[in-house]
Amino acid sequence: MKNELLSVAEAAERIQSGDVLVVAGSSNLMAQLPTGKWIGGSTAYFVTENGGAVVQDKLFCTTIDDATDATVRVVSPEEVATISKGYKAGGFTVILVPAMTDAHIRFALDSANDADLFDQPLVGWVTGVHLDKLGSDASVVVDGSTGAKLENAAVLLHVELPAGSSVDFDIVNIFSQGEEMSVVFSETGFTARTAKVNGVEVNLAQYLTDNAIDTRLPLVANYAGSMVNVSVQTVDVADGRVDFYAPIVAGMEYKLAAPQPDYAAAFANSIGEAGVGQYSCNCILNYLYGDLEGKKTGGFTGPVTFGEIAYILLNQTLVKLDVKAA
Amino acid sequence: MSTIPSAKLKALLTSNSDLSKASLGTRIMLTRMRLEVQNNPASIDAVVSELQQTTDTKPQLAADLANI
Repeated sequence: MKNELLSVAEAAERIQSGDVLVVAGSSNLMAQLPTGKWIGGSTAYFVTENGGAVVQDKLFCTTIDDATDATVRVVSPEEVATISKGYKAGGFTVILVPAMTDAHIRFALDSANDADLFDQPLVGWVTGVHLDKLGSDASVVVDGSTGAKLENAAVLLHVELPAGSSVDFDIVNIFSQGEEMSVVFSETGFTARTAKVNGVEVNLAQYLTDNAIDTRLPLVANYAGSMVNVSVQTVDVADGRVDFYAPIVAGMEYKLAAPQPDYAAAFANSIGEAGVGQYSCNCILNYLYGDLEGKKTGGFTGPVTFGEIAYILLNQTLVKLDVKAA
Repeated sequence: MSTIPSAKLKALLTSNSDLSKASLGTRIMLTRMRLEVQNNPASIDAVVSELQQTTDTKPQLAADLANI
């Protein structure tokens, strides 16, 4: 795969030549692209070869040069449990979902009800906007096969690969479970009022405030050896509620992450110089809390996103996918 | 591929063991099933049966679990 910041004209040339692309950037720039085998999502933030950056005059394009074919597909919020229906045998699927929409919420809560979801790698991210434009600009995804800009649907790119290819797909989480705070919720969802903290039922908003918990640290769950983060969005003591950027799952034990003093160094330690030629995305919260602007995080380049997808919705995580030729 | 014994699947579903050799998809899927059993222990036989049927139709999953 090739990861490049391209002008609209350069990206258009790729598309017109028949290349399969995943595009990230300004929705106004993506609106200028021709139709073809591509999908796009809005964001203003990127990890480039020179480090984290805001880029608004170019598009970050991943050209999937291993692809033998690809199909673009749009699914409504009600259809998220049908994602696997378009899987191409031996391939992988890229999914983009606009932030804070029904499509985002339904994907997070319902998509894994499809038993076939895990049949092949499902990689992607939640689209967003420049933080200065929250409330004025909409997060969008683009169906490149028609040029349609969508504000409440998931767009999928089902990629076909040559026979015998393999796909290496995983997450990179710089956080580990801390030892001080265990949290168990009784209901699944993006919001919690109460939880068992270290075995005692509490109002979570009040607990986090009274104990001056650093809510920049995610809650980390252990999925059979894979650490999966859920990040706190807001703590509203007056209303007694805590909102999250991804669903907390009933019965799962979460632990507050151990403090992370240097995000860029942690990524570098985790991934070294690997990453060139792989598809990846990294979380806006890592970008902000880790002050990653201008800092390199190994060889991975890609969009900075408002939620990462590795089958399920994740937060504060780098997701990576690599195709190995037969 | 031979069928994975239900006793092994039951053990997988009722433990908290790491499955570091398994793919990310297998780890996530199995964790969701473990949680289902944890939240409703009476569901164990049904979940074992569901996992058995899933492994019967998904060679990659069966290979992942056989190697654990």
